[in-house]
Amino acid sequence: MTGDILKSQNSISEPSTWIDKYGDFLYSYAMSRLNDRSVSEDVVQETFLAALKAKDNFAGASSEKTWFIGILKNKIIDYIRRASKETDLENLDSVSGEESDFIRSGPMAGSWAPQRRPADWKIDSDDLVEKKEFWKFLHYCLSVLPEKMAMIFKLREMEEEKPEKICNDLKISSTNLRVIMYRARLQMRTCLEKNWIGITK
Amino acid sequence: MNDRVEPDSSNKLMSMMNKIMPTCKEVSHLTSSSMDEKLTFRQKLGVRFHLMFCKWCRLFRSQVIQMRAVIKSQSLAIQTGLEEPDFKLSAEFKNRLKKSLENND
Repeated sequence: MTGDILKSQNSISEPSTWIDKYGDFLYSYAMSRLNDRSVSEDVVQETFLAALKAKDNFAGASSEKTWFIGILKNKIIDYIRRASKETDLENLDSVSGEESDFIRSGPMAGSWAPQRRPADWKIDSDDLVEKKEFWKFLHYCLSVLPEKMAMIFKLREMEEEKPEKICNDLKISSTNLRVIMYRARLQMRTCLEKNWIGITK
Repeated sequence: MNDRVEPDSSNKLMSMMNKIMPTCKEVSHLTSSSMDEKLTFRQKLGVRFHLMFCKWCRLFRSQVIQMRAVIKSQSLAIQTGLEEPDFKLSAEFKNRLKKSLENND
């Protein structure tokens, strides 16, 4: 049992041990991105199968775990790409994200609407428990965003994909991406403020 | 002198300021864009100027930055295994997966 730890870094471990070693970890990673059990199971399965095919290419330059994450990330991005093609981009335009965030007319037009003025969040970046709590609410808020908007937001913020790449992959203009990211951020912050901030205060 | 302009006060100075300054709506949009791309010099100037006077937009900016920071550090914690997995695959699924790995090996 303990022999596993001492195993050589340069060769990949037995495929039969992968699932017990990395299954839950990869599944949790996928869930944090995709928020859907059956889809996450699918990408984990695809990841292991792809790893099996590619195992001779494992150079040992990175740890085995990092290697699996790399494969999983690609599978997640593939999935988001495929799924986003099926959802209608036009729908996003009817989502009036920022409309009620700002005063619409009069001399104060364009200023924050009084009930939507941002509050001071003061997240203590050293407080891991607080960060974890915040993360939970963040997930909740992502789950109530329009699906496509959430996917694009995750590609950008979680997978840290470059904006040009997202535009290219999803065939959207940079203006469109800017608007989507803006609306996503506005909706996320409003949702977090309503839920998380409301509770901690 | 006020260090910021209260959005609901309405004096002459402010209506004058509003003519040169971008609105909160514009500034928050630009702030969001600046997280993804470089702003032009003119855009940066407008944002900086507005932020000097507007507490709400400064808070908005700090919120989107905090959001990104938490996402980043939490993703890292998950990746490096600092965090216990939140979800577990069912035993049934694991068994099926093991079989399909054996068959494909």
